Amino acid sequence: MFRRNASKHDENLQRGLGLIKEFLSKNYMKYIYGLLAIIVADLCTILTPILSGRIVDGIVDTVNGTDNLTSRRLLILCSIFIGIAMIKMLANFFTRLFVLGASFILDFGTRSAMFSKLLELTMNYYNKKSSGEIMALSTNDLSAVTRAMGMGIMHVINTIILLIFSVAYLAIKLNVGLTLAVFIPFPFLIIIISQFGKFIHKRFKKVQESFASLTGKTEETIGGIRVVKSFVQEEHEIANFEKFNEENYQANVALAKVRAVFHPTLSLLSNVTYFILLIFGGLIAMDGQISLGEFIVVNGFLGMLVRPITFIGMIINFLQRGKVSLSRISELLYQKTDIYDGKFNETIKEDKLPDNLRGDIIINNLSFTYEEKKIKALDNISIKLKHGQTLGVIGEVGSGKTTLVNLLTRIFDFEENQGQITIDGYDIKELPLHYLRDNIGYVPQDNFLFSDTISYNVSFAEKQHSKEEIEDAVKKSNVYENIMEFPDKFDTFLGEKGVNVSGGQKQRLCIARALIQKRPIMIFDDCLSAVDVETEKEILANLRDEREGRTCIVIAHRISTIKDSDLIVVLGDGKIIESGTHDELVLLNGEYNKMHRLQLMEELEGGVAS
Amino acid sequence: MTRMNKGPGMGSSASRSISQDEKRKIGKDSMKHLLKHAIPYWPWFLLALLLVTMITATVLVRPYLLGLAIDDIYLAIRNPESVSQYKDHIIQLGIIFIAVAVLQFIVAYFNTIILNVTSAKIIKALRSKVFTHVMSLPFRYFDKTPIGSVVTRICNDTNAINEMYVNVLVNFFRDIFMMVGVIITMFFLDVKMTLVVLSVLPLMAFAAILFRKKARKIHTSIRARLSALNIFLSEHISGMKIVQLFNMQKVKQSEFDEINKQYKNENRSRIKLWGIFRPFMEVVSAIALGLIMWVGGKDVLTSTISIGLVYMFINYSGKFFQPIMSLTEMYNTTQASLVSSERIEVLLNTKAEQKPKATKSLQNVKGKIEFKNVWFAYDEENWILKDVSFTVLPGEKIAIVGTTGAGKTTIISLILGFYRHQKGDILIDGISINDVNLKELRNAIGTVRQDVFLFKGDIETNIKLYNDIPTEQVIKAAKTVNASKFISQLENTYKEQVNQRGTTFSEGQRQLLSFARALVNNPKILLLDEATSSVDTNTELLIQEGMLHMMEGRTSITIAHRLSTIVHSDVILFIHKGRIKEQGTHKELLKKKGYYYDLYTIQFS
Repeated sequence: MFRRNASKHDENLQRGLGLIKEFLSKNYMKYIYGLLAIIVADLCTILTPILSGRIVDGIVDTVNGTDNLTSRRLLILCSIFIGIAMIKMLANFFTRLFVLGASFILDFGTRSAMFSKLLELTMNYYNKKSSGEIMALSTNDLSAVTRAMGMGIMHVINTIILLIFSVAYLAIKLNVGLTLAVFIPFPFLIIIISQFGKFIHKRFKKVQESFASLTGKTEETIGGIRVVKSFVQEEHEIANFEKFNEENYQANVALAKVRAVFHPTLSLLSNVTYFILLIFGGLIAMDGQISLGEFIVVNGFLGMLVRPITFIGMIINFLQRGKVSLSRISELLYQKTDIYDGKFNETIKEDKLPDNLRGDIIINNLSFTYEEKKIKALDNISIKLKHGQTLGVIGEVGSGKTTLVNLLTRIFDFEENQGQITIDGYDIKELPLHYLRDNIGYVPQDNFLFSDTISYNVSFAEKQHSKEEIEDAVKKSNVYENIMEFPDKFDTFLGEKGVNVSGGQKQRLCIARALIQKRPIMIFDDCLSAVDVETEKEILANLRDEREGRTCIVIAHRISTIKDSDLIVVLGDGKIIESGTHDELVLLNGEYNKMHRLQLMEELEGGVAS
Repeated sequence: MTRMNKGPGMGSSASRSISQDEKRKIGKDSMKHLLKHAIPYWPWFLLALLLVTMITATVLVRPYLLGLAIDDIYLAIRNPESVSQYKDHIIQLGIIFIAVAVLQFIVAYFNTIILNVTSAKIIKALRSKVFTHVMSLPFRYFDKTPIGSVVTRICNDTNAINEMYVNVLVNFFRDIFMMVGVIITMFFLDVKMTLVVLSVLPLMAFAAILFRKKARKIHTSIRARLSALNIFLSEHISGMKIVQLFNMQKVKQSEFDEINKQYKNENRSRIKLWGIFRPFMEVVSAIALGLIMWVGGKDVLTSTISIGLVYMFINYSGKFFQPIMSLTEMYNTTQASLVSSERIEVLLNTKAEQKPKATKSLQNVKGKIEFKNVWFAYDEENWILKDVSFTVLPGEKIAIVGTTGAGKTTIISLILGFYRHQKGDILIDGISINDVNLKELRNAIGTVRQDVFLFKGDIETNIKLYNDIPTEQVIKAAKTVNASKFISQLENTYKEQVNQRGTTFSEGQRQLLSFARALVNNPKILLLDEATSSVDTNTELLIQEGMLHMMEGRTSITIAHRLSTIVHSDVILFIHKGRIKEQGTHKELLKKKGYYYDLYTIQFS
């Protein structure tokens, strides 16, 4: 994340700022209202010490006999205090509502746009980014931007206006010399805060780095725990961990040392301003150059300015982090998707296509290499599959089975000169993506289900399916009885919050999810691996009827799953090494037969006479 | 393409989100668990509290001094003839003021240092304790628990606790001390005025209680929404392929926007709540201020009290109300720390690997291994090994063959004591492994695992690990197993850096390194789980030769996939579904025309 080069970062930042501009152009009124509310609130803020000064002067003058502050007048003046506070309360409320509210509109819009982009991006992106990194964009980065555009901006504007008001009032209404004297430490405060800020930031980064290496070390040790234990390295690993632990500790201590100076220095400087007021202001007040009330006013102004100014450091930090996060977010938002309609040739208009494809699939000299890898995942594959036929694909892990169906469904795109796939004569790259996928039912290898109810998961489509359809589908995939045993039947929640379903049950739910759609082409990607042989037989029998009139591609590890296919291809290192029907391949006595015999042996129960 | 979730990378966000279940677990004891880590450091905390008291005192002195100064000014104006006397006095006050400020600076400095350093020490010790404990946990634990979550416990959760010590605890005491300090000071100064200040307290307390209740509800709800948002997002990042294949983008977008909108709305409620609470509290302080000015002002007019005293009370009342507000707002940070502390507590309470009572010592191991009617199940139910018996004499080479899931790897794990067999006995040199020290046992055995794990570091360290072994011995081991050839071709030979997981080396090279690692401290027993992955013919020959070399003069049990290993074994055990079905030499077993014969003809002919 840190290795990104500067120009790219700048470009992302520019785009990010563009996003903010766009947001502001729609929501600037909220900020303007917010600004007005801040001005009202700040006027109230400075009125409070001024009013206190008035009262004090009134009292002093009355005691001296030059004024007559009656108890009633005093009561009125004191009530004004409360009145001012109430106006301020309203103003503050609206400031927060407008400015912070606007920041959450930004938060909402950006998050929504991010998700929309994520829906569009393809596996090429997801293979490069870890889900942790993407999650961090939505959690850390977006909240940093939100905070900068909310709290950050609010405090900055507030501090600036407050500073302008109070300096102006003091300089115009009061003694210029005193104003200058009292404000002497303020520039120092600002300089110290920004300098210290850098220093603290540096040490903070050290803490983060040492924490990262501590985490890295821990991750490695836990990852290799079996080796560690086999070789009795536990104590050494602990000693080694201690080194990283110690480093992190030292970095924390180093940070603490700077922090320990920082905050007390701020208090000391603010105390210096009071000291100046006390001596300088006190003396000139005694000489009558300013009144006691005015002394009180200055004192009050200091009280209200010191805090926001010490906050400035934090706010600058907010804004800076917001900036960095903004460019990270805009990097995602401007990410280009690499699979889309019209990428190769003109996409055929949907109204010129039949409602459904028939499913004559022709794969011609197909080759494919994954971006980061050099070895071909698929090498010159040609397969012809007629409407209604079933293709069985078998082969070792990494032989290219899943890649084949990934290319058919355009999860990945192969290069233009690397072969061709047609369905019913249409080049799949010329079919609208939406249309292509609408014609394919898919059961994934990793039996992925969402944390939602069973019926949501089975009826996973834009158009909702009826209860009967759902029941029918789960019956065909042999999971109906399991579902009926769950406490909430079809409303049973899956995932962390709900029941734990076994791998086999998940696979069968995934099959139901694909069956319910009744698509002309079906892909089963090794989807019966976690069910036992008996259940597999039953499911296969059910599927046999379903497969009628549909083109199916079945990927499997077990021969029994694909035995009945019209065509079986054996893949090895991306190539078709054998192909034919089950009987043909057994006769061939090659790789396929080897697998077949091994699997027969694994299934043997009990002893064979020896 | 399934994607690996990079667990620990999510550390700060998703893994720290709090589940409903965990929230329920936070009970009375949670705070106790959280605080108990601090017990050994109590003198430091006591000192810190003392310093906090001092800081509080210095903070309280400031308004007092300013109040006195105001009285001086007031009196100087009224008695112009003795101005110089008041001027001297105000200068004295100024000097005391700055002296107190410097004192405050020093005390605050030490206070921050002590707190942060002590807290860092606590976290260091806690982390070390957790890590040490994790190292002692049995294989079963790591079978069940993802790496990411273990790492999170050790690294991130301890950090969250740090937050508690540095920020929450100290602020809590600071606030309490400040409130108590202010009340005492005020009472000393003027009882009537104190009562005036306290008169708004019920209003403030009422608002605080009301707010606290509402805030807790909103914060809980925001956290729940955020966590729902994160779960949704993370789930859909993993399941994006399905979403896209099923053309569900539009539906998913609207589902996401719904959750997102709920989150936004909750935030709006929070903004409103805070927008009311904070300013409301300010209005209440303004009421207090007005009352002080009014009551005090009248008394000043009648010269019952001084104007400086009124100033002091205005100041103190502010200092009194501030802690009430921040105490009200503290709840949130505490929650996260409590959850982390509970998680760590659960981990620390996980039982460590059972260590057998080492009644016998395994010295000068000769290398005889016996299995006597061993039964084993991972879950006490499904037997993985059923009545397994065999004997390996010192120096013998045993090959275990069988189909996948037959229980081959389990045999090796049991010898190393990673799991405890339920029935029967396993003996080494006639001594039951239940009677020997685990370390001694594992030290006597060299192991090669199927998945070679390399650590970050150099080649030499990866061979000898952290053992104190001279370089010559490392080189010798590497030579024996045929690894020295490729190592010597590396730029830095044995000092060549290995990156995490050793991805810069080929599969074959990594295997050779793992051979050297198993051999380096010259064990009498070798347990090998042959890798099934194919390597090029050249490397294959190197590996075969290397294995034969390393087995020389040692007892070895190999889970064999290579024909050469099998053929060169003294005895072959054929395991099927947890039982030894056939046992004998290659030739004998072939003659039998049983299981082994079948397997052999399928795989190697």
